[in-house]
Amino acid sequence: MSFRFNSQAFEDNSFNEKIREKLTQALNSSSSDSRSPKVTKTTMGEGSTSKKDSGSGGKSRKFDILKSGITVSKVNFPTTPQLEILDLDISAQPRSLVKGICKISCKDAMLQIQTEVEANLLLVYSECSPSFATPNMICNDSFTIPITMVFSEIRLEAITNIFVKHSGIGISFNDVNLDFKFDCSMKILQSTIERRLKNSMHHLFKEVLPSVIFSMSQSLFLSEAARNQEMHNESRGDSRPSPRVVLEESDLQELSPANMLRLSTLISSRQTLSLHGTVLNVPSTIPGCLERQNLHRFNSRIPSLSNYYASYKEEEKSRQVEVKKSVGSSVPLPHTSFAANPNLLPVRTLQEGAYDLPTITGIQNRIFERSTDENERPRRRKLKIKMSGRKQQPQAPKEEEPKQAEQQPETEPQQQRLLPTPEIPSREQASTPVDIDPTVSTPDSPDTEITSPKPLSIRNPILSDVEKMDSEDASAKSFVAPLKLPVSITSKYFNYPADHISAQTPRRYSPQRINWEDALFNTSELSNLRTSLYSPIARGSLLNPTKERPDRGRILDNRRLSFVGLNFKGGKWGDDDDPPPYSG
Amino acid sequence: MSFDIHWSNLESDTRLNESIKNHLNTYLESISLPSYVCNLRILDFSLGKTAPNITLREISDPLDELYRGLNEDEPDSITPSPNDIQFLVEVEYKGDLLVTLAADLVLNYPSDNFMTLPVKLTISNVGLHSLCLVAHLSKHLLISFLCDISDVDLDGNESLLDPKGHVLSPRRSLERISIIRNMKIETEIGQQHSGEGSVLRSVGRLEQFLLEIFKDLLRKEVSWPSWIELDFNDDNEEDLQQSKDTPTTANTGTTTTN
Repeated sequence: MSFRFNSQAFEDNSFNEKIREKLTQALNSSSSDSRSPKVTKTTMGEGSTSKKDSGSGGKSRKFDILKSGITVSKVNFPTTPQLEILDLDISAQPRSLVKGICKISCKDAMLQIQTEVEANLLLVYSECSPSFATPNMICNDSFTIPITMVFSEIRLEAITNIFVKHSGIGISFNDVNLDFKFDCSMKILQSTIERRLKNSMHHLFKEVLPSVIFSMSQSLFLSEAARNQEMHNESRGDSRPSPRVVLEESDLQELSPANMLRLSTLISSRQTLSLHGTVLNVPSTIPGCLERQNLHRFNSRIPSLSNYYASYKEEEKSRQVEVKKSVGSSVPLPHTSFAANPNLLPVRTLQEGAYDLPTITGIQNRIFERSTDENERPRRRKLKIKMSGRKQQPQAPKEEEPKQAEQQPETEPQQQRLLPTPEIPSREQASTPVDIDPTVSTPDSPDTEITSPKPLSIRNPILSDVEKMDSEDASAKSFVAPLKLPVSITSKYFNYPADHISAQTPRRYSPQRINWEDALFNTSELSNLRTSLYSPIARGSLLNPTKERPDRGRILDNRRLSFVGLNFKGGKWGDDDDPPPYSG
Repeated sequence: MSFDIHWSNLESDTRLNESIKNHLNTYLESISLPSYVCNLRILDFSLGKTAPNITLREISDPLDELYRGLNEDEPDSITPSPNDIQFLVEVEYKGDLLVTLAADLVLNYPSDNFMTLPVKLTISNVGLHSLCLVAHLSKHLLISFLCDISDVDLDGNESLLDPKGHVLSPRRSLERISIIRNMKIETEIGQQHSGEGSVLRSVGRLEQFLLEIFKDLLRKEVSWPSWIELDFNDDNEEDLQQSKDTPTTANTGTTTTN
């Protein structure tokens, strides 16, 4: 049993009581609900009557032989049921979150149900027959029979699939093994009801239980659902007409004939495998559209650390080629050349001191801007560190731990390794001369261009409250001493003029929309790129894609390139669907 | 490597792991968890036998962006002063840190605490190799991870043909940084009860899911252009003065040579 049940609940009868209440509630609510009378009655073994009901067509009143509600008078689970988890799958997709396979088994359960049945069917019939029906029957006397049904020694074993979704819990029973003893207070009816019960069990597990469980689980998700509903209503308040899906003739007139022509050419070339005629009309001429086979070329021009310092990456490339050779298949692996191209700073740039700090931060800023929403600001948490006297100092290493956990509440503690670094630069170390390549820190002019405007940071007021609380907590335990350097060194090693701070610039993608398409397609460099991107076969470069490597700086000069195919939300077309390959 | 770290000193201290574990557990007890999680605790903690590798790459004036970032939400603006300094540090760790976490997932239906599912996570094999920026400007200490550094041990151990892997997965945009490049999470779901029942081990999708969440969190919080700011501004100036006088005792017995 992988799930542990609270045995207390089973011992003190509280579980039985709860279940009894819930069952009574569920049975009565659905029996009063005219849309699903079948559900209740089938469970009760009265399926046949309900079928008659739908046939009788009594519109004014429901044909119902039940005189009273259904009462679940006794429930008993003497032993704890068992729930075992057999498989688990998590997908981060919004629709279904967790999928699990479970085995349920329970033994010796008991269930007692009481209700009252009107045995005078004539009365029931005449009550719901229309008033003009003749002859009038004399059937005034009601004959109510109380019925008690006891299900005992219920033994259930089932394999279930459970889906936890946004809206609730879905469950399906696959391999049901059910056995019980049935006892009815009306001995005459016992065999009939029992037979019908057994027949309807399939229906119970296929439809009734899943729907009951789903509706029960919705109460768990209710708050969230209500919130969603509210949001939905709000968005409806805009009274914007929903986009039409059906293409009518009038719609077709609005579609651009040119695009339709391109699409049809594309389709025909896909079908015939002929490339003639597609040279001008391939999807590449549709703005922002890129063919997958050209993706690597596109990727190699994206401003990323790997591309910018591409010339330092030789060894790794050759290693990749080796891997490819060792795979030894004749099947080309085009994926390797472009897909696995993470944003890494080649280690050689560090060793040779060829890196440039503003370039790195510039590239990282731009990747951040591109990968996040326009309004998202970088998180810059602030932790107040209080100095707490000398007493704590000897314990500093140990006291460090709680503070770090504080910063990342739900993360695992290996992060501890990350944060002690601020303490390392101490006075002796800083005063030792460090070998710095003077070229490193001097920004050369083309590179300063890419130091793109820094996103503004807005601190969430709620968050900062939490932080304050956290930091107060932390302050009691933690101690980090400030750095203090002798002033004399600083002038020796600092190359930057320290007195200019440029005014803060807003994020580049400002609200006013740029007509970027025009700007893009009129530039000659871009059209060069486009021809090289979209007609690889003509240039024969498809065969050795790794050969072309952008020279340093070129990527960054062509700043506008980052618009092509990226999720630039200000574009005229494709409001919701981001064009490939970059999504938000 | 700029810093000699006497990791063996840590290893020899047998009580250290235990006390770290206790501290973390005390902390975990103090935080408020959502209703469906309880009993979050650390079962096992070990710092491992491998020391991190820390290399100082550059000392310079802090970047302008840092000032700009700080001045955005500070009423009193911070101006560059000759005391401000910035370190560019290469951090590398491929060690055998081991943490075992356990928690119970709770179903509070139909009654409170009705059903629990024990979950155990073992985290090991952590690998990171990044460039880190540490800046100190007028009593503010800023820490930010700039970028990852290519590393033969950490890159490219992904199977090329794994359909769920990075290589073939569709619609994946370029990630800025991942900080934790390598991390093994072993899951264990369920608990045997008097020899009955099965325990679900190594749920691949779950492990992947957790790892992604963790990476995302780090990326959001501490990687450039985000940073963590430690504010040393204190009302009690006396204390501050005192601690300035005493040289910083570096964490974990680190001595600094160059």
